[in-house]
Amino acid sequence: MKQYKCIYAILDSDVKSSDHKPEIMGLDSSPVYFVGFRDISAAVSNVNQDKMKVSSDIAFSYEKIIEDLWMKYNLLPMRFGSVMKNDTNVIEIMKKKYSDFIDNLKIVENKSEFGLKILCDLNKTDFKTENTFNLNNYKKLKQLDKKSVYRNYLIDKLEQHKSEDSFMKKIDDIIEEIHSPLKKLSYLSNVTKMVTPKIILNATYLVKNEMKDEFIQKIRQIKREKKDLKFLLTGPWPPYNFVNLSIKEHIL
Amino acid sequence: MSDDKIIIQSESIDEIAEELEKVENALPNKINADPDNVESGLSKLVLTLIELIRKLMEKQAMRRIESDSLNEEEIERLGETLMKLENKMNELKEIFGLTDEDLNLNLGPLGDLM
Repeated sequence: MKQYKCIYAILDSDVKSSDHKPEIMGLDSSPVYFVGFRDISAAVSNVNQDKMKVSSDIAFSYEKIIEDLWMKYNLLPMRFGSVMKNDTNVIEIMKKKYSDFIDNLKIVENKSEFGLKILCDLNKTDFKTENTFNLNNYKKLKQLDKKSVYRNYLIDKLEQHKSEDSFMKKIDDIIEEIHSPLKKLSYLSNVTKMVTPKIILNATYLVKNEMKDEFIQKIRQIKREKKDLKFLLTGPWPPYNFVNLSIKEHIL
Repeated sequence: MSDDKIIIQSESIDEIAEELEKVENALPNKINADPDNVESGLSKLVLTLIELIRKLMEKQAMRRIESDSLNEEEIERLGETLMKLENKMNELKEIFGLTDEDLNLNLGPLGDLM
């Protein structure tokens, strides 16, 4: 059976497979081994297929492998499904991207990732009463024939538009109040707002290890202050969302 | 996700999982190519895109009214166009048996389409 190489992570040390005991089991029940180039290594294992199946079990196993490696080494997790033909290809990619790998490894060194999701039950319609719509501000629209259906349609639309604006302003204010102190305590952050109407903030933070406790305490404090919001903080994770390079063009 | 990774959790994790599923389901990953359903999958995708463009036009129109850059005649014409467009979309949704929820699309930082 033809075998391929699944690459899990790039490590900032020249790890010898024989040095790594006990061995970590990779996907398809093959042990993880290390392919070195200069002072970095790739953690790889043999897999049976070039296109990996996606299932929650496989994804959990994949995460566990990276997590086990991360306990020992500073690393850059590779995207799920990064499969190459052979070890020579793995070395080639390390040669080509060596300086990118080194730069990224420096960024994530001694840092952990945390994920924060904030849920809010605010609804756009809650803002109807407190919106600032005033027809007197739209003189030309006001002057149109009052019987015109188009005039009344536009007035409704403008009112709706203003409600949405004040809703988004409120959400922006909440996000700012939460994100601003956390940004100060983190090294890097990625923020997406309004992932769904309820998840108003989905953020990942890269935090220096010595700042982890302070970071978590700050979120506990914000949670106590914002009783109407729901929080989900997870971590510490390997730096999945802070690897700023792609090897997409080199994988099968 | 294993429980030992959850540091702070206000509510059941199921609620968050449900919300995240909505994002995944907002647009089909693939058009359903089953001969019986292909029309439905394709029409959902096409109408979602048309609705996105219609909403953007509407937003732009509101901005123009707010900036006072249109005369009365233009405002009236704009109202007529937007209203007819919305009515036509409603007709199309009815024809293809789709609701506003079906055409909802998360636009990331811009929020939801609907």
